[in-house]
Order: sequence, then structure tokens, then C-alpha cells
Amino acid sequence: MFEEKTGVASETWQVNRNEISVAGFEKLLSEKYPFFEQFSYQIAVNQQINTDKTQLLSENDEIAILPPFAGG
Amino acid sequence: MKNYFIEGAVSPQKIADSIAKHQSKHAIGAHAIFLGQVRADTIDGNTVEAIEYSAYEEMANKAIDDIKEAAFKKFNLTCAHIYHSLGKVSVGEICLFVFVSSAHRKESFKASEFIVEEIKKLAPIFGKEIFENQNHQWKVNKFD
Repeated sequence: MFEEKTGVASETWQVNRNEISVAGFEKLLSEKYPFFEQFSYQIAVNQQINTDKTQLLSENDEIAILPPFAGG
Repeated sequence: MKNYFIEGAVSPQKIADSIAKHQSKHAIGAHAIFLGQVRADTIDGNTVEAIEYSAYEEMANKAIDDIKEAAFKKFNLTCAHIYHSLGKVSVGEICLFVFVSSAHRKESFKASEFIVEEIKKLAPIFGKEIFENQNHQWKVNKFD
């Protein structure tokens, strides 16, 4: 769904900060792609659903922005 | 890591073959089979003709694997098999096949419901509903 709107399936980001949290990442995400603010999504970090927005991200972390699930 | 995904719809033959394969397992007294079928929903006057499934596959396989493990821990199961479609599945075709077996029926009834509900909640699988007019929208699972 988001691939349709951004035109890409994945991107690699280089962030020039000492540290960045999931909340910080979300802010950068909506700066680059404002439409995300209108959509419901979950964030997974290294394939684990993130619930704590203060969690800090590490180098080479895989962050997935997941639309609502529709399995089954 | 086990791959729970298959390309396209689950065929009735696959379901029959799975049943046949279990006939040699004589400790089994009950099977519960859940089939998710694509339904022709009508949304704003447009009728769904197919759902195109995609997934964040590595995470989805791990999620389904964890759900299967949890089912074995919670219920006294002999077997559990799970298949989900990827790609286009037309209305009337099967997109999810959950097959559990146990010595007695109670576990199978409960385990099949548990597995289906957990998959719908926790597996990063996405469905693009394709309408007869070729427009589309994205499906969202409901729980009520």
C-alpha cells in the first residue's frame, strides 16, 4: 500500500545524529512523506512490532512501516 | 524457517490430500479445518472480484511459526498445518487453510480458532481488494 504512494519498496537512510528514537524516525518519515500522517500503520524494528516510541535505533536496523493487516 | 505461503489459491485437492496424509496417524481422533475464502464484498456499489495478497514475508513466517508453537503449548495437538496464499485469489477461492489434529475434539476446535484469530491479528499480510471495475482498496481485518 505504501509502496504505491512512495514509489519504492525500501530505502536505506543515513541519519546524522548521535542517536535517534522510533519517534524521531517517525518525524523524519512524515517530513519526507507527509501522507503517512493520515494513515494507520505499525512500525516493526528488526521484525518485531515496536510499541515503545522512545526505543533507540541502531545502525543497520531494519525498520518496516506496516499498513493494517489483512491476512486470512 | 518454514514457509507458510503458497502462490495463488489453496486448491480443494490440496485440502483433500492433507486429509489423506493423516489417515496413517492412528493417535488422531479429531481434525478441525478452517478455510478462509475470498468473499464478494460490495463497497460503495463496487463488488470485490479478487484479493491480491502480499506480505512482509520473513516476519510473517516467523509470526505464524510462533503462533503454531503457542498452539502446541496451549492445546494438546498432534499436528498443525497452516497455508496462506500470496498473489491473486479470486472470489470463491481459498486463501487460508488451517488444519489441526488431536486425539480428542475439544483441542482441535479451540486450537483452530486460536490460530486463525492470532494470524489475523499478528501476521503482516496485506490484501489489495480488486473490484470488478478494476479499482482497488486495501483490506483491513475486523474483530468484533
